[in-house]
Amino acid sequence: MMVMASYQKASSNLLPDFCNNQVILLVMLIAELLAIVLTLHHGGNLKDAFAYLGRVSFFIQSITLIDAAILCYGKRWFRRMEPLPMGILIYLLLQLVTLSFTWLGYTLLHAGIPMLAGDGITVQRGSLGTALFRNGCISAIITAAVMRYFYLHHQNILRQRTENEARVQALQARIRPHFLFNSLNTIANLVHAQPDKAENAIIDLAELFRSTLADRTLISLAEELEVSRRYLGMERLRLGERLEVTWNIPVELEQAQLPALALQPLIENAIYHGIEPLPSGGNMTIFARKQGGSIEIGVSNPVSAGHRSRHSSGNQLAISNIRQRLNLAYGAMAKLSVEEGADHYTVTLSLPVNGLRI
Amino acid sequence: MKIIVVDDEQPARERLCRLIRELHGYEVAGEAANGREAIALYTALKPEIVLLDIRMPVMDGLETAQHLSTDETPPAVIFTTAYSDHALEAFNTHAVGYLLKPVRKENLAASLAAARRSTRAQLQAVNDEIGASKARTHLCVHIRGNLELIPVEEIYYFRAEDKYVVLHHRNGQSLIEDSLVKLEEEFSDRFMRIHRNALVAKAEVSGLEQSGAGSALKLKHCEQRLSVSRRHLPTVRHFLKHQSLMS
Repeated sequence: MMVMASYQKASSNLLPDFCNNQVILLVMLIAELLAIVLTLHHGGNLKDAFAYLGRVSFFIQSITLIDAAILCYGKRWFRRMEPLPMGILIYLLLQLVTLSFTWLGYTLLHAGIPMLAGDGITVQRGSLGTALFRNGCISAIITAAVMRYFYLHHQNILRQRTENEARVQALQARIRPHFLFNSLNTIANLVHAQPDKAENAIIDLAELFRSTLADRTLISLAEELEVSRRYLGMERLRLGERLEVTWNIPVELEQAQLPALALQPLIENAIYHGIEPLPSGGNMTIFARKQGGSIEIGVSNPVSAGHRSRHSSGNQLAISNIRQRLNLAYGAMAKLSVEEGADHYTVTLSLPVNGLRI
Repeated sequence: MKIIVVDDEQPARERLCRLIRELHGYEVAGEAANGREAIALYTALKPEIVLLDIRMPVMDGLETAQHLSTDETPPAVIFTTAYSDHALEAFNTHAVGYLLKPVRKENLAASLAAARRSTRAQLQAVNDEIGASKARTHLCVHIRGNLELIPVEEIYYFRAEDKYVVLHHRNGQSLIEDSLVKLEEEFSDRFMRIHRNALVAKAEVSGLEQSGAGSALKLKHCEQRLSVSRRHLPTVRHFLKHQSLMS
């Protein structure tokens, strides 16, 4: 939800705030640079050049400020639109402003009022048609470049924000508060009744958190299974006989590499959403198998009919986190699939063998 | 004071029981692993205080508290939870006790000392805030002063009669105080209105029958035919058609 909300906010920011002084200053600067380039191209002696620069600047800045005013006052409507139609509409509107000004300048010049005329850019030489064509082309190119600049700038901000959110999410997905506090509660009880077991539980918890906080991206399946076993050990203390686990992992696959903590969160999900809601618990299966050019690793757990609806929101966080990390590590070659049967829920990771050492 | 401890995790129950034993003036009368067991235990033992875990299978703590609050002299309810985000604020504002696990002994002692009989309004308010508008899994009926739970999936139909609603289920029939309108709203995915005075479990509907006066609904597990009002006939027909397409 949080991600969605801020994403929508970001996409409505695709259009910079043209009511903002800094933004206006920036576009005026770009406009002035254009005026200077045109003046340099025009040539002539220094005195003429300055006069020319003044007239061209006046012409271009007028267009720029009208453009900014349109974008400032119209932003409420623009922001309600989809990005692509919004971009096209704005682009066309800005071209219209340039062409109108060119027409106005041309008309005024021929009426004997040269002030507003863009003068030598186009107006004096040739017909109205050529003037419109030349100014239109300049405007089309410059507007496209500036809009592209703002678009890239926006993309950059968006990417940074997504990265930050992903980092926070990763942390949340790794340390589920429910698990942490329930484990501590279990240990608090064991300390009195069975101090040895309590000690082991604390060590398991420590190792679990150490691997959670470790900064490794790829580990071997054997290592991931070790982490998972520690985790299941903790849950076993808490859930007792309600938790049964079947391991179905061929030894030869244990050296396969996979992103760290790709499996353990799936096991945690299976317990939280599958085993715990069942009054007498159930049996979950953890499996790995070779399937053509890839390795499939996954978890399958029973579901009670009454709790199906709960299976969504919290679960999605961990799943989308793993999906993201698979995508980072393998691109489109890895896959996470969810299979919802009548009484079973199975999540399978499919990782390419290529690039993995087996 | 008699207390029952309700939690699906054995170590969690064990710890609470131990802490209670260390305090003076309280006695653990029994333990339950989920809401349904808790209600049965409550009916048998009538403790003054119930320590209730929120997240449990079969029936969660919030629904259990809701059922308990319908008793003539409801017990004091103290919720225990490992973690529940912002939900705890609701307990504070409605003066129902709550404890965070692992529970600190002093906090438990303070909560028990402050435990008051909860009123239905308090628990209802907490439930509204936290449980949102989740449908109950069981309905609670009062039989000779005892609470008895009827799983929603065992209910065949509800029929309004005079001031009460009669609930027809697998093991007979009982009176409940909820209104048909409220029941229809809460269980809209499971029950269907067929008459001003009747709500029927969709899963129980087996067919429609034309009789002299109008249409009547046949049920899978009841001999009784239920009359369908003209107003609701199109809905029922549509449902039956849809159902036959599905199967």
